[in-house]
Amino acid sequence: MTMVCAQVMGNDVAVSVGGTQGHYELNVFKPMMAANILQSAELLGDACVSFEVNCAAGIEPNYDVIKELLNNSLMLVTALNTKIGYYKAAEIANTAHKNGTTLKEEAINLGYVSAEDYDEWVKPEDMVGSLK
Amino acid sequence: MSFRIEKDTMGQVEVPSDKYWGAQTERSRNNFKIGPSASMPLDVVYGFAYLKKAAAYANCELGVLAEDKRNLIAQVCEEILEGKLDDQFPLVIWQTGSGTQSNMNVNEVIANRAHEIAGKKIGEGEKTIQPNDDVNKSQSSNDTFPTGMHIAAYKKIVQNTIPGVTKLRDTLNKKSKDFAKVVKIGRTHLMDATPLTLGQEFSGYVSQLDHGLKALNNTLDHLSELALGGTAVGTGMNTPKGYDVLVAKYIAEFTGLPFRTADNKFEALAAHDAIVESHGALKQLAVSLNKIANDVRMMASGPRSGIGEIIIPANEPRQFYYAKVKLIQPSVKL
Repeated sequence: MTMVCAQVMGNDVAVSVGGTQGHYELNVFKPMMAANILQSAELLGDACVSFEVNCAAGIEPNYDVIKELLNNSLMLVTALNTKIGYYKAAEIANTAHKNGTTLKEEAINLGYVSAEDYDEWVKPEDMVGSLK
Repeated sequence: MSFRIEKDTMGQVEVPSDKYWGAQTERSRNNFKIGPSASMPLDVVYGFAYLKKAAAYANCELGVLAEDKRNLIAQVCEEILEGKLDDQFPLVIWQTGSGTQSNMNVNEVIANRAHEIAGKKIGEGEKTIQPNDDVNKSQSSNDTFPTGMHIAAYKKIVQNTIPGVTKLRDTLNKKSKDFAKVVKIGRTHLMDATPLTLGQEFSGYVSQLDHGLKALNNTLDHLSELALGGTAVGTGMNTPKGYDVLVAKYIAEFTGLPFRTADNKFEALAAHDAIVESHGALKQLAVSLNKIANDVRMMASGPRSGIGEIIIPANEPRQFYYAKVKLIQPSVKL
């Protein structure tokens, strides 16, 4: 797919140059322009079908990896912004990053958030839209 | 190989006797040995077949071409569209920039094949159908080539590009709904960011393709304008009155697509902004698809050392290692 995209972007340059080559009553880059637009149109259509059949239709989430990467992320601290303020939240994230610990551990260590509040406030599923 | 003699205004030329083309095609074939032979897309040739048939019908209806000649020309055009004469168009893209020689290639093939259909031997006796006076009647390469080009590009876009992109768009839309509750980490600048759902991420891809399809559809009106009837410089010299509208009507009828005569024939000959416009939309789609494919490629990276948030099908059994399957697949398919 991405090789096809590169070809189409290149063809676009050739078609654009061809489009400039009209002098008075006739454009005289017609065969090149025709060949390029036909190639681009065909390649894009075919590549989308190939990508759909061989790849997109079979895409499935790898739930374990998604969960692990999500819960490891220091960016979940953003949920605390509206509770304890940006600077304290940032301090928790920086400390956890420096110590190789979790956000929850440092939030409690620094005394900014209780374990109960942390679990209540830092819910990734509540972070995918605007505030409730 | 045996040859026959064909003539044009410059004199005699030897042409392979098993081919229908004539002197001007043979001259072009010999003068422009640039790149692979027959690189002029057959889609353009088929576009010509539609317009030559339409021109024969319009010319006949307007009283400037006999009915038996119209029928012979139409019959050969049908054969071209059925793919029976694909090996009769040997010319390359890298010819005269107006496409004159490809126009003459079609004229010559139609004339010689019609002569044969009429029960005569090619190269013997008066030509039943004249390539210039009959097949090319009320036309110039300057208005036929852009017409053939528009027919070919329009057909390709509505019959290949749009269905293909739509198929992928619909699958991504289904995935977006299936993954609506899969919360994952977001990334900006490839760095960890706040969470979103995999469905939200995929909905962005769907919207990209929707916008691209809309952009492409918006170019079709300009592409539906046909130059035919403008003749050499756009004035319509040597065409019967009403020919341009009528010939476009026949092309629309024969192709089943909404072609119409160009609002301004000078623009239709001298500029190909319609092609630039359509290709601009194709480029937009290419840019979108590149982004989408790269996201999938990176999300599927691994299995042990990458991101690995999604699993994509392994389609290449010849790859020995699982990891290799995963790597080869995106390079080819993405």
